Amino acid sequence: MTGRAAPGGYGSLVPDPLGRALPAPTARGTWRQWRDDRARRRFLQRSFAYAATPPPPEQWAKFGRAYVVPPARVNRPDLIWLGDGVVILEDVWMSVVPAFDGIVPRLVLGDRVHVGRGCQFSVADEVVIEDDVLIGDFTQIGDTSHPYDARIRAKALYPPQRVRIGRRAVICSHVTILPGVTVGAGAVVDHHTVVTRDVPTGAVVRGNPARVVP
Amino acid sequence: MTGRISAAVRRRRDRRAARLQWRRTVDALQPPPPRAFAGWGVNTIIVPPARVECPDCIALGSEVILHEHAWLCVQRRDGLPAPSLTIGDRTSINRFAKIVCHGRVTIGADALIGDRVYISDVQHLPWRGEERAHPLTEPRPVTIGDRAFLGIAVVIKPGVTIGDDAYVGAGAVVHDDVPPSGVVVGDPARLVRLRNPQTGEWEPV
Repeated sequence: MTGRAAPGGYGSLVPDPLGRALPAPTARGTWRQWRDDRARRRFLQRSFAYAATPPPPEQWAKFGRAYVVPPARVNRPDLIWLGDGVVILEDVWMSVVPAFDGIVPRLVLGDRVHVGRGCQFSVADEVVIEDDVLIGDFTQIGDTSHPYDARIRAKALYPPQRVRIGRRAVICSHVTILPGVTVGAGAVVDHHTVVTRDVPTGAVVRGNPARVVP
Repeated sequence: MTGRISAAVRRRRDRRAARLQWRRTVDALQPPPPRAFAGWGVNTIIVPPARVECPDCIALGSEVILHEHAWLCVQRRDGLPAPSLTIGDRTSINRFAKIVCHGRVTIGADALIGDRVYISDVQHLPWRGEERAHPLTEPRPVTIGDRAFLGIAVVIKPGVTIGDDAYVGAGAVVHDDVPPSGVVVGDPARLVRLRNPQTGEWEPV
């Protein structure tokens, strides 16, 4: 497969059914291929250039004096509340998905919350981030995960468990917060921590799984 | 010379230059076209700005999705055969994942690869002084089975085989092989559950 062009110039995991010797691919392919490529490229370019621009303030459930730095991926701004003084840096993905019947998900960011680059919020029920929370780069916060059972893993999600982050907590970079976790007010979650249980108020946690540092 | 032209002309010229610069930037962020790959299925999507190197060594199945900032870091090395990276059907590779391939990396069908996952078949060795940089080890093949799940920020070390249906929890650093239908968590990864093929239950180990 490697280093060999597939039938018709386009790659394919299906080998040539007749086992013929394949013609050497030309650098640009045929006119038709070039045109299809261009169409696909333009489609992707336009769709993602559009998607990477955050929606205008009037589309959000609440948009206080917030600032969302493009590119950001926001699929349901009508289910997201942003307080005053919120700053959201580049490449944040706020995926709020109504995946369960009868549950309208919501993502609430309080006042003066700072969200670093590349963070992801995956919300199927409720994630609340209270006032004055600092969230570092590349942090993942979600209230569902995929089940163990491989037959339904790709499609199904566990029933969501709500996530809450208390006032003035500090979440450092590369932290993963698993479903059902409540981080207490003023707690500090160190870098690269995987938080599996609740964090008490004012505690400092570290490690995988997270443990309280005395 | 700039003093001789009018403000409107200068503005138009600046706007054209900016548009050209934007076009160049956007073009640079586009993934290579499908025909550059060794294999390309149906409905495969690479979301820019994902990074793909050596597409002629990469075979992608159908309905693969490669999200933003994912990086397929496939590199040819002197004295080694061409690398090959194979990704099966309906596998999704999430944002900020990096797959380093200097030898052979195989990812099965229906696998889910989470954000910030790092899969590598080579390692750097300490710099002892006589080389010009940190030397690399010989590549050891990495295999990830069908329907495997790699959670957020998982690290897969060289030579590891992850069985079919395995589940790797968030933040795990996998040094040893994971059996089929096993659940591993932690750093270093330890096996915590295994599915009983008779009953289909996930039993603690």
